Amino acid sequence: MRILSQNPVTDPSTVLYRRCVVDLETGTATQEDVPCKNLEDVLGGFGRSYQILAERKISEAYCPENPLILNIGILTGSTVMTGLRSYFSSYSPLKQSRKGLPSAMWSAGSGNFGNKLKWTGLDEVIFENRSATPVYAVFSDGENGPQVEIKPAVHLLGLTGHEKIMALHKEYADAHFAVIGPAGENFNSVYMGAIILSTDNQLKSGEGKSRFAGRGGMGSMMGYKNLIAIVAQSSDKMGKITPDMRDVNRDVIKNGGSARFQPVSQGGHGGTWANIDVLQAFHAVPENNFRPKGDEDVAGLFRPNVEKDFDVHSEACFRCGIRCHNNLYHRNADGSRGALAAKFDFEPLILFGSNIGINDSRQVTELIHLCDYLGMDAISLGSTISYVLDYNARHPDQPLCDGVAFGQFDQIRELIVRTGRGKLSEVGRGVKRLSEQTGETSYAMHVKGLELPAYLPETNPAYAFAIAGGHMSMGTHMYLAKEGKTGLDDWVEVITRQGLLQVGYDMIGLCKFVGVGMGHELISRAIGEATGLKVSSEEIVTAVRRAYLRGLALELRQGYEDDEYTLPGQVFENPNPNVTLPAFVTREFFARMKQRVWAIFKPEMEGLLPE
Amino acid sequence: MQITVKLYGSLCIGRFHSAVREYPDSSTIQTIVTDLGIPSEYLIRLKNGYHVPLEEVVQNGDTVSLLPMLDGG
Repeated sequence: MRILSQNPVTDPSTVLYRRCVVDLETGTATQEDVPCKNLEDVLGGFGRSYQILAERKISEAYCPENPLILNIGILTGSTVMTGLRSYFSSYSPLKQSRKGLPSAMWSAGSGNFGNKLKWTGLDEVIFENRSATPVYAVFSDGENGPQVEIKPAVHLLGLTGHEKIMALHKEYADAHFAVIGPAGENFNSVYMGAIILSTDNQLKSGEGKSRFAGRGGMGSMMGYKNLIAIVAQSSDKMGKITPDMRDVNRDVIKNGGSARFQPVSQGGHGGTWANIDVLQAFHAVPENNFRPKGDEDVAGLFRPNVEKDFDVHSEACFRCGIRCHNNLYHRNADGSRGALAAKFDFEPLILFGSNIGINDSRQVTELIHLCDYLGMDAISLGSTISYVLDYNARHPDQPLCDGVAFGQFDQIRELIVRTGRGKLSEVGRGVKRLSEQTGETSYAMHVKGLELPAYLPETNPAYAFAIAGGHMSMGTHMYLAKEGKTGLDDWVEVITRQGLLQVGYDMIGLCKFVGVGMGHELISRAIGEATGLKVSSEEIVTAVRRAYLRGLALELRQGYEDDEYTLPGQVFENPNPNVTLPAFVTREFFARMKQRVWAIFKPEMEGLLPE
Repeated sequence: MQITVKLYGSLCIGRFHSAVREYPDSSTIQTIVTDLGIPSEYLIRLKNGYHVPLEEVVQNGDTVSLLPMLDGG
């Protein structure tokens, strides 16, 4: 990125980013410095990629004209703590309007891949068309600038994501990797393929400690393009940490927002795993397809109980002091730490645990690991499996998938393997399509075709306004549990003000676990210190808001109609009496909420898309 | 007066899960939080199952639940 002035708001074109366009059909690449059009372009991530997607009219995801855009945020590769995110954007094979048009999507991931890409000198790669044969792309920092090579990848086919990464690591010692697993290779059967990103810890230990850009089937898009892996090769170019940047990083660690995700031993609450304790207090932990039973079965997944079976160790992304990872290791016979079992985050823990009737942590770790190795989005896969199990409980005489039932570990394991290997398209294509085939949609846990994360829809009517995943693009999933607010005014306010700003982190390159809002001075200060750009908190908030609304406008352009902005029918038709949080999401409430939110959003959305 | 205090998640560590504790009349949630040495920021506070502010006055026999305020991911 070349920065020629300090004010990106009044003069965004003085900030230029380095773009590489790779034509996978011809194997050729071109590069250029692109002047930014607005502050969203400057900040990066989906704020920039969605403007590219908006310039194209795409009617099906798997078509050569649908680009796969890899980019980073303005703070990726900087010395700001957590500044290592990379983003993948495309029209999604998974998220689709009823009219059959694919929705724009992005997915974010950590690991050290984003940093390495930045250090090659590139800020953005657009993969056009598709290769006739399996290939991988290598981006490296040559003497005269970024270099690109397209290489055959047949030798990587069939390997798990972790195996691909370790195979490439032998060849490219100073690189990091973005790969797909078998699921992405089987893109026609699996629309929920994830992109798997390597971490320093993984490459050093040889253990499967990858990170994932999971949502929306971006790994399936890579598979469609016959792009099996991406290599970012560069020496480490982390800048010197100035005294002011040291202060920024100290504040990242010390602010109460990030402290919540820090290890218990560090005075924090122990990562997202701890959500299970909080939500269980309200009997709001998803069980048996998002239907809490009002019992204590999930206690088996509480940390003290899991620690009886595993050595739980807090670890971190590259140079991150938040240390939110809870990695579970087997114990050797002598009590010492053995092999890695899995990383326990709230989403996979619940969606491969209590929500499919499994509360034995040893079994849950195996399913998480399997999903990760095969390269699927844990949320989409978990929520689709729970639908299958729910359907089978309702239709024991005509079940799906050989009649697999809640709690049947071995059968569920087999189902995951078959899905990831492309043998079970009814699961691999997601819960929206499956439920439309069965004709029973009310308990299919998705909104707009994207499966729900492990937060109950009756506690979050704002899912309807998430543009790229229920909790990562609308920050309201814990609002009811945290605040207890059920008023119409409260929900309209939280959606149209704070909630949408959740997406800002997927522009700037930082992790959401920094824990402060986009309007916090820490964000403005970090950008200023890392780049020299002067941009106020208000200007950042305005740009993030515009980027979010552009995404919403793009949904409408891709055919979404008003009645698709809804929740699973079960929420309205059959409220769960076991949940002790207030049951306030009635059809009437929801309709009034939507009407008021649209009344605020729609005037602002005008003019955000190209003619 | 006697207040039943329930703690969740990491807040239990070095404290307790549930205990009946004595507090003076006119005590508030803040009184209890301070007494237990829990930072009042990023805390979910319930009185008899309902969300309340730190300034909420408690009465004899009330149950106060304190939970860490987390977020998703």
